[in-house]
Amino acid sequence: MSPSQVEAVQQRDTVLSVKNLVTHFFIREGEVHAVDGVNLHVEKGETLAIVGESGCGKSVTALSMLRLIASPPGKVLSGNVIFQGQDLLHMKQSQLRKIRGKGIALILQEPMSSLNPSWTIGRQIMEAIELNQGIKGKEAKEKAIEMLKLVRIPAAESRFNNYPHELSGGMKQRVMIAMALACRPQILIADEPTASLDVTIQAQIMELMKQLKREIGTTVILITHDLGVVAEMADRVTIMYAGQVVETADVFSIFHNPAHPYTRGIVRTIMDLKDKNHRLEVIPGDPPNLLNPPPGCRFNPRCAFAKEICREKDPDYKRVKGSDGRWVRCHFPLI
Amino acid sequence: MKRYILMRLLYTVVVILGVSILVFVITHVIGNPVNTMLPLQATDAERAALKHQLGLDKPLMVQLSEFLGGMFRLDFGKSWWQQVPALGIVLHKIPATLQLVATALVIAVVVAIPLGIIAAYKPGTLLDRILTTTSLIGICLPPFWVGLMFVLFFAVKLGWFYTSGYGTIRHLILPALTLSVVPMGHLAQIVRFSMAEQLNAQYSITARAKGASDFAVLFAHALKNAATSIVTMGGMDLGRLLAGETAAVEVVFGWPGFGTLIVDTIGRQDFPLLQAEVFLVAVIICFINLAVDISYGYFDPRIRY
Ligand SMILES: Nc1ncnc2c1ncn2[C@@H]1O[C@H](COP(=O)(O)OP(=O)(O)O)[C@@H](O)[C@H]1O
Ligand code: SF4
Ligand SMILES: [Mg+2]
Repeated sequence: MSPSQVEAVQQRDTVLSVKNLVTHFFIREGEVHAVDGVNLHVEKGETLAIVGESGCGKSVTALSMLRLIASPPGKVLSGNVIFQGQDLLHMKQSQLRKIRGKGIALILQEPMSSLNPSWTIGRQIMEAIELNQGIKGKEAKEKAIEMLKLVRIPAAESRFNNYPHELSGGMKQRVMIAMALACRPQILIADEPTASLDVTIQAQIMELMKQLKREIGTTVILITHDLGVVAEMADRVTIMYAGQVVETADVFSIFHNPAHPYTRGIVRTIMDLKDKNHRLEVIPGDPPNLLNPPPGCRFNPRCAFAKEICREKDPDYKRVKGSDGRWVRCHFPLI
Repeated sequence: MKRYILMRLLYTVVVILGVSILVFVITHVIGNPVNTMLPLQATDAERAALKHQLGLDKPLMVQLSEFLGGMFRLDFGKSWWQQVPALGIVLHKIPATLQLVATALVIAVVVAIPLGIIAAYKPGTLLDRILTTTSLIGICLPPFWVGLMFVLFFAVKLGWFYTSGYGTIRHLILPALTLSVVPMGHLAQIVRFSMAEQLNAQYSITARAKGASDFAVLFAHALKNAATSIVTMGGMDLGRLLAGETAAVEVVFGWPGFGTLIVDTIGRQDFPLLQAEVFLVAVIICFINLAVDISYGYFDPRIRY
């Protein structure tokens, strides 16, 4: 092998892979097919973006990976989540607990309600440190203050004693990031870290995430519906639609040479905006109700390329022939 | 905090005054103690004499101001029936009731809190469904009926306890158990539902995602946030029991407490004694509420006084 090939192999060091994950919710109205065959993998050191419209199953995917779905009503019905050669979905709770945090840390979607209102933020970060770094007391407190400084919280020593309600939304999200990083995770999952913040704060938090990624070099799974953020931060992108992964590719290909009609539809909308060409080409229709997804390809009611088979047979998620690590779920891929 | 407590004390005084005046006016307007105290064949002259002796012939405003004047010295006058200071009688009866209520509440807490937590931890399981249903039934059962059933079964049939009376633990258990049923049901429900709510909260998921144990999530994280609801319910039950809701059970078990006293007092229309009782109940409830409010500040940092 040439040196560049060796480098390529090393880059392809998969740290986490999810295979055929299925999570449904059993509610009065029926069975919600929230996640229905999600496949993805993460390579060491990269930022993988998981992209899709609200309600397509991004958060449920992330929570299912660490078995954090509330049951009832939810249930992980099948799949494998392979991390360090072990399947997180089929291991003992006690083992899983050692992987939560230290192995994979999670920043939940809602910074407003993701902190315990009756604990100081310092104590909450200290808990993460004590659980994952094996240090306690004064030393853990110093580390916690360091973490607050790392996420650029001013007056960290006094902020340490604040309760969540004494902090703004942006500050809370910084605390969430500090707490996740305090676990020293090998993989950090950030679920829409800026979604509920106002625009200027969003930019600040994204900037912070970028800086931290440079400083620490953690592997990141960034969940978002914002393609602008994807273009700025992601190495590879996994696109989700209606509970399924429809395409995975490097970030350049996603924007410039999408394989799936849905991907093409969503990147067109923002490309057109960028070109100041106001002909906004929105995909017609709405995503399907996951209580009763359409037969065949789930995108078929909205797809301009749909043919007979699309209404009958759900396409497999396949590697694109001749491509370098591109995957697509479509009978008639565009490449 | 100091200012808050001062305000609350002031408020307590106003509440006690208000309640006392209300009870005073109502009893004096609609009550007729003279008829209760004298035999049926008593003459009008005898009735008038007794009325004069009790001071009931004076104008209502005069009676009220005399009563209020006495109340500020904690003097409610002598009980018409026992001819000793009313407050003394009431205070004398409190320990027996306190013993009963405290035992009942301890039983309720010890049973309901662990069961409620387990049910919330495993929602939808058989245990959860049994617990939520039985606690609902428990709340609806009339205590005197529960008491009678307990007596029939545990005292009459099994002979484990005395059917009535006061003094030993074998006297105490059955009435305390009877009284514990309703608060136990209330507490089991509130613990079950508030803990389930807290366990589903985002912060509990965050804690688990950090690698915290279920035990830590339950007791270090969730319970503290559920505590305000639980303490509120506990305080309400304690207040209701001490305020004379023990009466039916005390009567069934021949328990010489505050509840029995209230029943007697009302039957005899012993106004001074009644006023002393009302006063004490109001004081107790106000202080329970104050204690509950102060505990909020401890459990929930968003609340500051
Ligand atoms: N607790 C729940 N009960 C019922 N349905 C749920 C629950 N949580 C999520 N879902 C459903 O699962 C689907 C995926 O949700 P989610 O993963 O949160 O979407 P998103 O991609 O916006 O993160 C949605 O249709 C949502 O309605
Ligand atoms: S499978 Fe058919 S309907 Fe689905 S995306 Fe491909 S072309 Fe469109
Ligand atoms: Mg989400």
